[in-house]
Amino acid sequence: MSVLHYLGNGFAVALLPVNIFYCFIGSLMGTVIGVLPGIGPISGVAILIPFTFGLDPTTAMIMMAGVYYGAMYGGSTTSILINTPGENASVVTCLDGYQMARQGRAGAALATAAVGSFIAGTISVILLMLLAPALATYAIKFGPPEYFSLMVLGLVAVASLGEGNMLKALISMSLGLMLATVGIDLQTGTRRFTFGMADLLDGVQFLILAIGLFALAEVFDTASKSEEMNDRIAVRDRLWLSKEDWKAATPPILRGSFLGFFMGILPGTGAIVSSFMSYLLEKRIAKHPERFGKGAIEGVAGPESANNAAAAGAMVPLLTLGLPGSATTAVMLGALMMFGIRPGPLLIAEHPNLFWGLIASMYIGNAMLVILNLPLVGLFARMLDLPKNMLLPFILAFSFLGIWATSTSTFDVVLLVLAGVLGYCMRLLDFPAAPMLLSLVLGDLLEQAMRQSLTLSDGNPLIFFTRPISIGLLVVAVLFMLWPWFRSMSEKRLAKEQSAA
Amino acid sequence: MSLNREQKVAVGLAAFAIIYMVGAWRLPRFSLGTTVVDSYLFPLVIGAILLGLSAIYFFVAKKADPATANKPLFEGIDLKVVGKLAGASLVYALLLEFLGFVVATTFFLVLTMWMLGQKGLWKLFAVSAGFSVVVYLVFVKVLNVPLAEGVLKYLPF
Repeated sequence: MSVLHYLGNGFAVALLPVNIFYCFIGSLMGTVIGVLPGIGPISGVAILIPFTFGLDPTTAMIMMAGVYYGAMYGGSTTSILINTPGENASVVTCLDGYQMARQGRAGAALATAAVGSFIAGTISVILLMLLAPALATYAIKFGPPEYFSLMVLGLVAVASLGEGNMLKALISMSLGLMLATVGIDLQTGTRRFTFGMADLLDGVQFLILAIGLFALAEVFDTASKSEEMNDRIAVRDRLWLSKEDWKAATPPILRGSFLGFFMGILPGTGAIVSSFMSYLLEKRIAKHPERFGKGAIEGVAGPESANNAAAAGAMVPLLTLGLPGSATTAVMLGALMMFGIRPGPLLIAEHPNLFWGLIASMYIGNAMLVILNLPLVGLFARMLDLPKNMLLPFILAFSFLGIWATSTSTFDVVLLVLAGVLGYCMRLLDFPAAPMLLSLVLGDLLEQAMRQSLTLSDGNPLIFFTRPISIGLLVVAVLFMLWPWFRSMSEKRLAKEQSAA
Repeated sequence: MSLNREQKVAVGLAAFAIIYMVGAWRLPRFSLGTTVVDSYLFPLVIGAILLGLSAIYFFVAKKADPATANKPLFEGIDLKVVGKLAGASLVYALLLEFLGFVVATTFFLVLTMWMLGQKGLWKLFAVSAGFSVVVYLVFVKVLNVPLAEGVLKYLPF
C-alpha cells in the first residue's frame, strides 16, 4: 500500500468524532498550559497523562500530541506579552516579540507566531510522513548492540547539546540511570535498592519524576522570587498582519520550518537550539541586521516556525527508533509504554492506526491551533493577569491529583514532593533536569540492550566496537562529547582574531 | 585547604557514587543457572561513571573563578516560602488518604494561597472548596477514577 493510502486510513481514524474531540481538548489544554507561567510542555503532558487513562491508546496519543503542539504555541504568547517564555523553546521569541509588543504590535507578533507555527507544523508533518517509514525500515536491521549504542548516543547528545554545563548534564544523566536501577531486576528477580519497601519494587515511576522535577520545581522557583510573582500585562491593539508583515514574515517561516524539522530529528538539539539557529540565520542574511532585537518581525517568524517544526521532527526518532530526543518526547515515550506500546521500527507495522492516525491528527491539530488561538488571544492575555499566588497552589493541586489518580498511593505523592525538592535544588545548583528524566526512561532499555548484547557475545564487550553501525554511533557519541570543547576552542580563536583586528 | 561550593557538591556526589557502588556490589548473586550479566554489573558501571564525573567536576570547579563558584546561592530568593510550600505539600501528601481528596485539597489550597499572600480567607475557602468538589465529582462520577474518600464516607448522604 502506498503512503497516501495509509494516510487516508489515518485521516479516517483521526476524523472519528471522538478523536477530533480529544485533539481539540488536547490543543486547548496545551495552549492554556503553555500560556500559564510555571507549566511548560513537559509538565503539561505529564500532568495530563492520568486524564487519558481509559481512552484508546490512539486517542490518548492524539490528545497528548495536541497538548504538546498547543503548549509549544502557547509558550510564545507569554514570551511576546510579558517577556517571560512559557517554555524554553520560546526564549528566542522574547528578543523581538516583546519589543514588537512594546511598540504596540503585540497583535501582529502573536499572529505571526500562530501563522508561522501552522505553516511549519504542516510542512514538518509532511516531512515526518515521508521520512519516518523509510527510517523505520532501516531501523529494523538494528540488533541489541546497535540499540545500546544508539541510546548512548541519544543520552550523550541530550547532555551535550541541551542547556547548561555539559559536565553537570552528564552527572544528572548518571543520577537518572541510578534511579532507573531501583526495583526488581526482571531478568534475575533481584531486588535492587528497594530498602525493603514494597512501594519501590516497581521502581521510580517516570511520571513522578517528570512532574516533580519540572512542575513542582517551577512552582517553588517562581514562589521564591518576589519579582516573578508580580509580573502582569494586557493586550490592546489589533490582531492581524499587514501586507508588509506578510511579505517580511513568509521567507523566514519557510526557512525556519525546514531548519527546525531537521534539527528536531537530531536527539538533544530539539526546539531551543533550532529556534536559536533560525534566529541567527535570519539575522545573518537580513539586509538590516541591526533591526534584530528591536522588534523585527523576521526574528519572531523564523524561530517560532523552527520550534514548532522541531516538535514534529522530534517525533521521527521517537516513533521509529523508540528514542526520545527531548524531555517532552521522553514523557510521551513513557506514556506509550504505560499503554503497552513500545515505539520502535515495528510500531508502524504493528500499530498502523496509531501511527497514521497520529500523523493525520497533527494536520488537524495544526489547523485547530490557528482557529483556536487567533480569537482567544484576548482571553489568554486576561489569563496572564491571574495572580500567581492563586495560580501556583492550583498547579500543585493538579500535580498531586495526577499522581494520586494513577497510583492511589500516599508513598508516591510523598515521593513527588521529594522529587520537587530535588528538582528545585538542581535548579539552584544549575544541574539540568532533562537528562535525568530521559535516562530514567531509557535506563531499563539501555541495561536490557547491554545485557542482550553481552549474552550474544558471551560477555565480550568488543561486540559494541566490531559491528559497523554500533561503532559508527559510538564514534558520533564521542564527537558529541567533544563538541563543547571544539566550540570553546573556536570561540577563543574568534575572540583572538577579533582583538587582533 | 578550603573548598568552594562547587567542589563541596562534587565531594558529595563522589561519596554518593561510592555508597551506591558498595550497594551494587553487595546485591545478591544469581544462583539458579548461568547468566552472563548479573544484576549488579550495570549499577556498578553507572556508579563508576558518576565517580569519574565527580572527580572531573571537582578539578574543573577548583579552577573556577572564586567569585562565581562562591556566589551566594540564595541571593534574591525567599527560601522560607519554598520551605513552607514543600512542608505544606508533605503534610497534604500524608493526610490525603485519611482526610480524603475534597477536605485535604480544600485546606491545602486555602493554606498555600494564604501563605503566598492572597487575602480574603472566606473567598479563598469558597474557591478552593468549589474546585475540590467539582474535580472530585468529575473524576469519580464521570471518569470513574477513584479519589480518596476519607472523612466523606461518614456523611449520611
